[in-house]
Amino acid sequence: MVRPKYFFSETFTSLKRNFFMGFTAITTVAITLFIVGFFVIIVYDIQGIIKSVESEVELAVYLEDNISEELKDYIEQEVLSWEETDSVNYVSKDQALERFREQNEGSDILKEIEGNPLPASFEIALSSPEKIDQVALKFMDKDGNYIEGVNDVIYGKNYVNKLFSITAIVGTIALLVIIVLLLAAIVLIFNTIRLSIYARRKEIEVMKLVGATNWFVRIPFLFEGFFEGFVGSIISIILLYFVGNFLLIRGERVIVDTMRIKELAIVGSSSVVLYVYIGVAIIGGLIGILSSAIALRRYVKI
Amino acid sequence: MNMIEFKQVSKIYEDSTAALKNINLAIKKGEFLFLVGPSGSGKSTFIKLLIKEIDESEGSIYIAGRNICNLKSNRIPQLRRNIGCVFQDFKLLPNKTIFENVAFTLEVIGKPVYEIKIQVPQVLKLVGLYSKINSYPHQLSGGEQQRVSIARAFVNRPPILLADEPTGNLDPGTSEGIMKILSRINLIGTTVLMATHDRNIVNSMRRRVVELEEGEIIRDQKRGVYGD
Repeated sequence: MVRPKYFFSETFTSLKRNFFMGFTAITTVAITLFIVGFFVIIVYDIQGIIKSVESEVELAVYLEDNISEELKDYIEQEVLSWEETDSVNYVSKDQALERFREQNEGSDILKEIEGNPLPASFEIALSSPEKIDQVALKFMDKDGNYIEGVNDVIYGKNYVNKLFSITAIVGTIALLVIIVLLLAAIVLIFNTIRLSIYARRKEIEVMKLVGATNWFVRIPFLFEGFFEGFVGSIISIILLYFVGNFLLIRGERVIVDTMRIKELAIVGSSSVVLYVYIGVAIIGGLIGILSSAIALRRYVKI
Repeated sequence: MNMIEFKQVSKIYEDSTAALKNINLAIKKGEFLFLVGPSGSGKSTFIKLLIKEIDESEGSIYIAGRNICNLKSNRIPQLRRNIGCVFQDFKLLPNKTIFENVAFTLEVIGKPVYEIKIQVPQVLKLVGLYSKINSYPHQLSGGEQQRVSIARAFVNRPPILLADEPTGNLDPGTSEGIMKILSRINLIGTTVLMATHDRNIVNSMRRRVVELEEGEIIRDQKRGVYGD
């Protein structure tokens, strides 16, 4: 039988001797996968920013002035028990007035106010903001009237719905762009590896002439394709690591600070980066080996 | 015993040009045969059929008594290991040394390293190129490169050696050297089939001559000459 050592030594001597083609293939893999990976991380972070905007979406439930303490407590407990609820904050009439005064300090409107016209309310933060419509409906009975003790429910319906439709569009576009980028990367890598095999078709011809079996011809090329894809993806992972840690995080901090977003799935701190790394490595190796296999079909068939 | 036998073999290419028409020919073990004829007479087709680079359209081809026509594609490498091939353009690998070029044939069939290390120098001595064992093809003259390609074809001692215009690119003096090596290989018992249109060589060797013209055998002569 053929020695496995032959295939390894053949792979590496050939990499050494066909340095330029190998170098081109590795660089192509590194650059294209870097672009894809970089874009995935950015898109993920943009989604993170949008998410944190979404999470600030709140529902205000205004209570009737004459609501009993029991009913108020009952509603609060009820709301807390819903799975969509993240937190509930009770604002009493006095607190509402106090807040109103702070917000409108120096304005003439304060002089017009007599007594306390502001209602007490619950401010409800949601764990799943896209369900805000359903949650709002829970404060209504079958006939569309508010339940007892509740005067009004306000959540900026249009604003919220617009936000969610923008999120959906951004998500779809990002997915399409990632797919297109990935396809472009695959085609580019495939062509480069095919060229490097084309450059060595004479070698393949001679191998077949002296009676090499198809697998004997294929294996060193497959190893080589895998090696080029894998090394290229490792390089792109290293690039992603540095760019992610030193540029993205700083850039996003600026965005976070200026937009006053509470929290953000920042690069490096999120698990998605690890998945991107693993994905890039797998895709790199796979593209390498598959490109070789497909390109070889033309030259190896007897 | 017939080493190679063609029975009513025809080859018609896809563009419907007939390269070989109804060829009947038997070549004995240990024979030296010249296949002569002008370009396009079917010499190369003849050789390609033998190594199954192409398939015949009709008829049967026997090698050492076995019909190779319905050979499965995974048996083709085995067939080629028993047929050494030498070409006009040498087909050496430019990025491998002379040793590696020759060793290639043995690596392909899975020979152990120690055997390769014995057999390659041996065959390089046979073709008189032992001193160039670590050179690269581009450092050699055309004649030397052809001798390397003969060494590569012969290193695993195949019973058949095919040569397609092996002296086509070489000057008469160098060609003579190549013919000496082929004769020597033939003397060991190898069946040699050489396609050529080198008149001087055919006339000086005085071996069996088969002449092709437009895909048909028009002459088969023992101890023949090139003809008119």
